[in-house]
Amino acid sequence: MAKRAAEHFFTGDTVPYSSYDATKTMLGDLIKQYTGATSVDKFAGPMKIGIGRPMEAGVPIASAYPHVLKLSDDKYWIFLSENSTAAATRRIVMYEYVVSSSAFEWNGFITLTFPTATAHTIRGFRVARELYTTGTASVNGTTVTGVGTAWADSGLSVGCRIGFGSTDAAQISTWYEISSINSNTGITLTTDAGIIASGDYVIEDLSIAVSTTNATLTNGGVFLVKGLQPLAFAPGGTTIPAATTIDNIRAVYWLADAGTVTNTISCGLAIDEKDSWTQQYIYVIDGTTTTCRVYKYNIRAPLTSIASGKTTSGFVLVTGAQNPATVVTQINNGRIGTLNHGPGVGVKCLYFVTVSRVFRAELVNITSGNTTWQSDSMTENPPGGSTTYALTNALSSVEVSDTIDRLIVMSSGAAGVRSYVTRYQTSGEQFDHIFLAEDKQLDQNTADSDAVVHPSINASVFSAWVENGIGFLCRNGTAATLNQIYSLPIGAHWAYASGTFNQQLITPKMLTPNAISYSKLYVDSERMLGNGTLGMSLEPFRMYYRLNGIDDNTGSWVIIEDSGDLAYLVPSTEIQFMFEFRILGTTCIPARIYSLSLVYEDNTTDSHYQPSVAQSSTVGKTFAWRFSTAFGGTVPELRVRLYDAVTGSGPLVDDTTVSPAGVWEKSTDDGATWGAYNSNDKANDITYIRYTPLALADDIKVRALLTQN
Amino acid sequence: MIHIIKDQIIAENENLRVATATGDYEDTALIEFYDIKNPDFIAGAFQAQFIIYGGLVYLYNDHIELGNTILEIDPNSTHTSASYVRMNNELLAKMNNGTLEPESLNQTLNAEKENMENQMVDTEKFIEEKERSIEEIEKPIEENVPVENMPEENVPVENETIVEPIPEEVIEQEVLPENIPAIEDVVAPEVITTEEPVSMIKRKVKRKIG
Repeated sequence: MAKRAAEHFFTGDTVPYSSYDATKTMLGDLIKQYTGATSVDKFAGPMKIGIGRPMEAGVPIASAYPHVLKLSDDKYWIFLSENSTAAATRRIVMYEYVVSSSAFEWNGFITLTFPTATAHTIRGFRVARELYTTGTASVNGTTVTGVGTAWADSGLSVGCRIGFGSTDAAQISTWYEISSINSNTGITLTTDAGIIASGDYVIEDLSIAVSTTNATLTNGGVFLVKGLQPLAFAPGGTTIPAATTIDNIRAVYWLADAGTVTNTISCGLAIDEKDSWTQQYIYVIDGTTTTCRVYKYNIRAPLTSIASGKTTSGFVLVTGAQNPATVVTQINNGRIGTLNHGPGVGVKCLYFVTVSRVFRAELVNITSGNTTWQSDSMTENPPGGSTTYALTNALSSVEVSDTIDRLIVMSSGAAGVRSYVTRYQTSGEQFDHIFLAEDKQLDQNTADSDAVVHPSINASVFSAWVENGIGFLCRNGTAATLNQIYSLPIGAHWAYASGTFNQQLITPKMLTPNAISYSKLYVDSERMLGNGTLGMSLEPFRMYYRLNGIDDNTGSWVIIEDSGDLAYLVPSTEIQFMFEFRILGTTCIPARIYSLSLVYEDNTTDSHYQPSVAQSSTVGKTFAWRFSTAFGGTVPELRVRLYDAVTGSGPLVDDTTVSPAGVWEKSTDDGATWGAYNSNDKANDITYIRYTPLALADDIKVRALLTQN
Repeated sequence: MIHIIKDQIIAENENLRVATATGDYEDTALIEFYDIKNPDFIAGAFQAQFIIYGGLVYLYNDHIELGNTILEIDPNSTHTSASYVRMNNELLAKMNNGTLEPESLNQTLNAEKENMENQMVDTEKFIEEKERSIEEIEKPIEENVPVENMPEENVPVENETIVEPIPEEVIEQEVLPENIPAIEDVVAPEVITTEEPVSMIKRKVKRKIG
């Protein structure tokens, strides 16, 4: 048999995993096949790490607390809130993020003029984007007339935008800003839209809620920015005025909990889903220790009795105080989610952290005056235990990653302490993963081009948002050196890649016709990005194969050792490979696979032997081969098959070295003397073996095939 | 400290006018405004510094950078950051020239205080001056001097009387709301340029009066 190789380069057709096709490369959502001018540009693997640098944008603004909205499979909006020294105004930054290129594009910012002009520090921040598509709308100039619409009653705001021709915002190419909402069926636009017949339309209602603490305590609390649209986030900024008395215009409203605000020690802000156009709740954790409680507001409540931008009509309730025993952090703390495991399985809960615990509070328990609103908590316990990684006692925030059904628990980064990804459990088990590492590399734009962008801790707090498996990690620094936002394909981490999320890289099936045995799988991958001095290793990957269930994607995957050894397999006519990648590691830089090659032996003469005419004999019906390539050990069992070379029929003889019917012989002196066959490896270049069948018909032409058995 | 005039145009928002009473306000004080399309409703509030200088006051993280930028367009600004930078520059200049004396700090502070006081506008005189400006603006449009053609050296020094009527003054004139439509008719769209020149003109008016 001869040695063959089946190759695959990641340059061919791809399909998403959801469109499984065994003839193409299949990619999970977070797995990409990249191309480019050079061979190292052509690879497949988890999406590259992306980076945005708020402090190096057109207008440098120290930013933190990402909130990400997915617009389409390839386009996200990222909002960040200002993190610089407390001031009377705060700015909100917007980026567009392109998944296919991992590129952050800085759109611009808005400046919030708070109804209280004393120094604010943002503690929590959320963005709400809802699309109103009920009924139909027609346009004549700047006048929009609706049928079956309830624009005024739905609390839509002046300043938002409307598009016509579809209820799908992604299909709208021209948007118009709303200058007034006159009634349930009447809207006025800021610009002339011409004549548009009655039909589908979409209003994009964009608002932002922030919770702040203030230099003058009672000037803090919750503020709601209404009437936004993407174009407001302009490179030169748009200043949003403080509201005065009118609801539903582009302005900053103060959702006070009382005439004199008591929600003064905000720790963060969590937002629930919209229940209706007049009801969407946010939850603000207040108080870091003994007075810890939760304020609940309705950001879609019609705002009444607004005076100097302040109203209590959005306030719903506040729980009683319940001491969490450890200190609640004030870094965008609090996230609402429903986990599919653990004590909170299937229940919508508010998750938040103290410095050493993760807490869970079921939303149904967040009721007025309730002093037992906390459901349970999970104490920090690093993977490997505290003798492997010391307790940080510096947890800072928690994020829910629903695609992998895990919590992302960020730490303060002080002294390089790491962060976690874990299940929520109250059984004292160790957290599942620890990730990020301290290597001090700065990722500012002026860094050496050979330095590889990655989220080093740099003794900094990170705030996180995970959207569709992509982790957006913002280093909350206030200088250009330490203020970056990274995109990281957390959901592609190998521990979760095989679930319903399917974040795997699967090759097309590779044909191995007439394979007698498999030898090895060789994978070409990037070993180090950057140069020798600044270069950085990538995270590892795992390889799998399957021989069955390839066409219908039903076969089970079997892991392949890093040696690539596949000699133990019973070969088939086709084989398929799959890769999973580690993301949650130290550098978090995803691996890059260039190509792979499967080496196997087919049913032609074994590659270790060459047919020898000189040592063969037609008279004696003896077939000989020169031992040309050593095995590197004991010679495996050999098998000889003799076919009728004219008709192809046979085998006429089928014999092995283990239980021979014919005679196997061996010579180590160029055929001068022949002795009994043995399985010793090649001794020299004049080693031969030969086989004489027990019986073979006369006067036939024979093709002799020597293979491993 | 920012001097705000009722009904003046808000920077970067030509349809918005100040509703709050004329007076001197802290840089971050909230100043209410209305939309000229609906003058009976107070639409919101901006900070006093934004009313005058627009969004540039939110572009800088460093107040010295902000002060320098404001001084470039308004050398006599009473904005706190501008005032700080101006005083700082004066002291540095004295130090570099070897004229820094123990009493220099007080002198600088007093000079800045005097500058502040000079910027305080007598509202009645201001309105009178504005009204005179309006009368002059009602002359044929070809007599107007476009702002963008005014060389920097034309900026009058303190107490100098401005002879030329400047159309942009209309933008900031102190008028009663009912006069606004007429003013809008007077100001041709091409006369309204950027907010920075508008702010410059405003400063000229103040100095003229003061």
